[in-house]
Amino acid sequence: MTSAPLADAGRARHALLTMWTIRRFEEAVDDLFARGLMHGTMHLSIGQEASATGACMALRSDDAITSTHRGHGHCIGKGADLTRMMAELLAKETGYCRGRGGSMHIADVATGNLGANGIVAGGIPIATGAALAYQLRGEDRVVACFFGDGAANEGAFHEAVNLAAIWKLPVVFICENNKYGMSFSTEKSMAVAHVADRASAYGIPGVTVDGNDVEAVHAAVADAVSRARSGAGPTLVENVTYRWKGHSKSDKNLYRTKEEIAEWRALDPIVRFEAVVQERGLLDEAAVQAVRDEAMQAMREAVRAANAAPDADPSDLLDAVFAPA
Amino acid sequence: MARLAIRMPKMSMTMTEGEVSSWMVKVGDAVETGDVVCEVMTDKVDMEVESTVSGTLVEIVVETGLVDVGEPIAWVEGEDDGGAFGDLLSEPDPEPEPAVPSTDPGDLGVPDTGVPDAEAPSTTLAAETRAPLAPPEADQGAPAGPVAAVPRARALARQHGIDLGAVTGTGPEGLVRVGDIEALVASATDSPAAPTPATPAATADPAAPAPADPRAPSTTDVPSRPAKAPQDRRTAIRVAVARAMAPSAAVPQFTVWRELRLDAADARRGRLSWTTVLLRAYAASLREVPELLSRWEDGRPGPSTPPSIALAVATDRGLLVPTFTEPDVDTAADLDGEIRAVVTSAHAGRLDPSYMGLANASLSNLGGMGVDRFQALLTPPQASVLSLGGIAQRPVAVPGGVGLALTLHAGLTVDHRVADGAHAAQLLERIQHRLDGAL
Amino acid sequence: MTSTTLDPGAPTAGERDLTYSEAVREAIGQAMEADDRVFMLGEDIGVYGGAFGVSGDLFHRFGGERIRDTPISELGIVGAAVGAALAGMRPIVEIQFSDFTNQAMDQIVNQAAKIHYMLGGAASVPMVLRAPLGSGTGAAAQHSQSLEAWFAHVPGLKVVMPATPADAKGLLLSAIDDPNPVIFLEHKLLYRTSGPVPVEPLRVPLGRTAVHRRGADLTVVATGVMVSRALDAAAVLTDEGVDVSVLDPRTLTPLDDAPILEDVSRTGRALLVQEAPGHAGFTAEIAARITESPTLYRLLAPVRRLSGLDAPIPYAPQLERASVPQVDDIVDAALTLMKES
Repeated sequence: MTSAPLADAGRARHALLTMWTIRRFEEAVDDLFARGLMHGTMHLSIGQEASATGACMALRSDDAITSTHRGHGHCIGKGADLTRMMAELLAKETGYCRGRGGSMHIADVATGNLGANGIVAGGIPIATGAALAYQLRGEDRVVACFFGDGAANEGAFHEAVNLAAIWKLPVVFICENNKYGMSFSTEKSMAVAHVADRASAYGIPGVTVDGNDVEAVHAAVADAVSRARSGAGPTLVENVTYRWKGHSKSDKNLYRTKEEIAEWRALDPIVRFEAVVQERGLLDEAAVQAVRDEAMQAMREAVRAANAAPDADPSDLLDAVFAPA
Repeated sequence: MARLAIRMPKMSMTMTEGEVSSWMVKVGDAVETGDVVCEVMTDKVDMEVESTVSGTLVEIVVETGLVDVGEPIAWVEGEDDGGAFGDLLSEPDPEPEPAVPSTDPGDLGVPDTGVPDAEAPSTTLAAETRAPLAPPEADQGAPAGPVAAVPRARALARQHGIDLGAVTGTGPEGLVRVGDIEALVASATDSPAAPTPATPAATADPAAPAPADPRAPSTTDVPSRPAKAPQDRRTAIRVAVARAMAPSAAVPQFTVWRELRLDAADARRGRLSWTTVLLRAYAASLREVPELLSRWEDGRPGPSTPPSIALAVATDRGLLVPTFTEPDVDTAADLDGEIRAVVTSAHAGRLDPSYMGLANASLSNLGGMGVDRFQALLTPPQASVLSLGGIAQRPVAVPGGVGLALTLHAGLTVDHRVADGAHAAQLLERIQHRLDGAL
Repeated sequence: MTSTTLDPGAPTAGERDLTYSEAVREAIGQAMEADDRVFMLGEDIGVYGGAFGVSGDLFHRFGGERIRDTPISELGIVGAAVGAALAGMRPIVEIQFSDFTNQAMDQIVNQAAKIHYMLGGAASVPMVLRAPLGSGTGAAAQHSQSLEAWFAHVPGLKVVMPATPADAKGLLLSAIDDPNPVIFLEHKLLYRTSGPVPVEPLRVPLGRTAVHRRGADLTVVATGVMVSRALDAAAVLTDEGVDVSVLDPRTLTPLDDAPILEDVSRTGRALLVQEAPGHAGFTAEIAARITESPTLYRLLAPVRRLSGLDAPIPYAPQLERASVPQVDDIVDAALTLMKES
């Protein structure tokens, strides 16, 4: 499952379906929240689907990821169950975290997802430690560590990337640079042009790619994964992309212009990929429409099933504080 | 074609309603997903509302005004792409989602903690942190340790000199409550047998040691007592004696008598006072009968503590009771000097705080006042009190007839709860033995 | 008047005297021999042997892979331990001074403590964070704190404070076994103290209060280095005619409060001793449990806490001594408490 999105029709279909599923999931969340039917807050990655999809397609099923507060795409890319994800957001007992975690804490150990994280850069040292575990056990598994441009300015990023570099750990650091840490632009937050420029400070390769090009993301991450798996150590991959929606559900988009948002919407990674697969003759219009329909249908079924599940139960809240010995 | 709603969006975590202020589109206009259609004032700022659907605007539901989150504000005729996910939540329930299977931890090498399920033993933590703590001794019959009393009841009992062990608590498992103490205090005051505040026992026994427990006289008045004129010193001492001695009536006590022979001691005592000789003999003998070194407190005999004896000193200002801690330790001569100094300062109305410790016995001597013998009352929670009558040559049986001997009549009064008659007899025997030996 | 000393006396069969730090090292070594998943990471724990010499020769016995020296990156290495634990290892992190856990608080409090719960029980973080704490070394305010109450306040962390070499070994083995993050706080002044320690890797379960001696008059509850000071004070108090119990909860979380409540119910007096500042300190929790339970009705005097000053630890030795309870302070507090009832 690690060949490129454009390798054949099957891979193209998989990539497109993953991106549409992510898009539909985010839209469902947006709709449910907007109608007052969903609790809390959440961070949507609409516009960034190529990054999660291309990166996860470069991983084996026994590889692991760590994710971020903007992590629905990573979960879906790694193969999480839509109904359990949606159930978690709808505060159901059948959710991934039984209603204890919500949007920012979905993990799916079975699919190698070590967890989203509500703390900016919180997952970076954890990814490093998981990679250390694999190295210590002599396993050829790799950890893909997703984080945003904002996390690259946290101390945890520097400490963890340095540890991974000096120990040549099998980890790929994937920075999804969507141009803003909340409202603070990367132009203001960094004195270097690219997050990947920082790789040289740790003595590891750094590469910046078009994060809205699923094929380019896959190629860069696949190189990094094979380097990591071979024992050569970590790579810093920077996927430049853009989130269409605000940072969270409280964002009024006061820090960026409508024109800028419109420019990036024109670079919709899904529309671009649909055009490429049809140009290359991998999928025709009908096949593309079938993928769209399938994603929509799956999402509607997931919402229905999640909504029908029992609500999360407060009677045993103390039970999961500690793992039983 | 379908009728699709544009709804009042929830645009912040706290927003529950929004006020439509103006529309950018009119009925008949074509709208696309993402087009700004109207402006809304929320609790924070003005926001633009984007269409969530594409088609032709056919109706504006609310031109201006407040709308709850989620309610339609306009309708669009267009293609239904199925994206109105919120509608799915009000559909009739489909089959319920089956319970979540446990994740397979083997894949990642993650320890199998599993998703907690209904069968998992899960009450330990809840019990540890939430359940009311059961009294540790609740199921062990007679509890060891202090009598259970609510703090205010304990304070009240202490104030009135009431032994909690003698109180029948009416709370759960015999817990003594404030009302139990108040009832006791009230019945003691109202009793026809005790018409005056000072109990007959206290007034009839001028030799009874006054409070040996310095806390008793220093305790402030019952808060509910009405304000009164300042007491003179004599009254204050009577009140203190009353407070200390009234509880003595609740102690089951008895007295044993012995005529002590003093000739041998007299031959050796030199310049030592009889008080010194007898105080040392009493203290040293108590160590050999440890039952009498225990105080009855909170319904049980407390641990034995070293002898600490209150000496009753009658002064012009009333009775003072300096406590001598372990008077048998230093030399007799030292003790003799110490007693003289303390008695002198007591007569002057002064008592060094170091002589105000908690006693476990008392010594009272009325011999100098012509008394042959008398029965002293215990000062709770002390275990014993030794009363001494006058020292005189008295006829005694001698081999072959009657002779004279220097004697005194000693009475040992004992708290029957901590010791029996045999213990009292043993103590008097030990005192005689010491008087016959080294002083 | 009699009190039973339950504190270990002379070594018995299967025991010999070890120092506290040797006991910690032996526990790590035995755990590493028994379980390949156990490894250690920390600053200067390799050839150097650890800032306080605790790791000692472990580097030579197990090699640099498993006794892993790290850069000065507390946040990074605690996070790496969290990740390794999530991925099935049993890491032991050494932080050179417990004060430096402040550099790693996100990983300790927001990550390690929460992951099991936040994920609805789907994963756990079986790691041990060892750190020396406490004053008495002249290292002043940033190297002498007792922060145990912080950790005890965070649901999801277990907090252990061993007071004897035998407890250090037995509790550390249990901590390594435990599927949860355990904060293991070792008092610096205890490292060179010695006592009998079992040769075998015997576990002391987490959540069992130790009763070092039982007395009739007063219950002293002490933690960490205060346990030995309380025992010294108890000997002095015996001469004063005051017969005290000395109890050590050993683990602050989970807290085994039943023996404490039971003993206080019996004596009617509680003196709670800790080195940490008193304000919002751990012994306040014990005081609260006493007053929230029917033990309250047995009290002959108010519950008393004896704690460090509510001030940073100063440098000068006489100031440092004056900042935390000493044996004399415990004796005085006990005598004062006895006079109150």
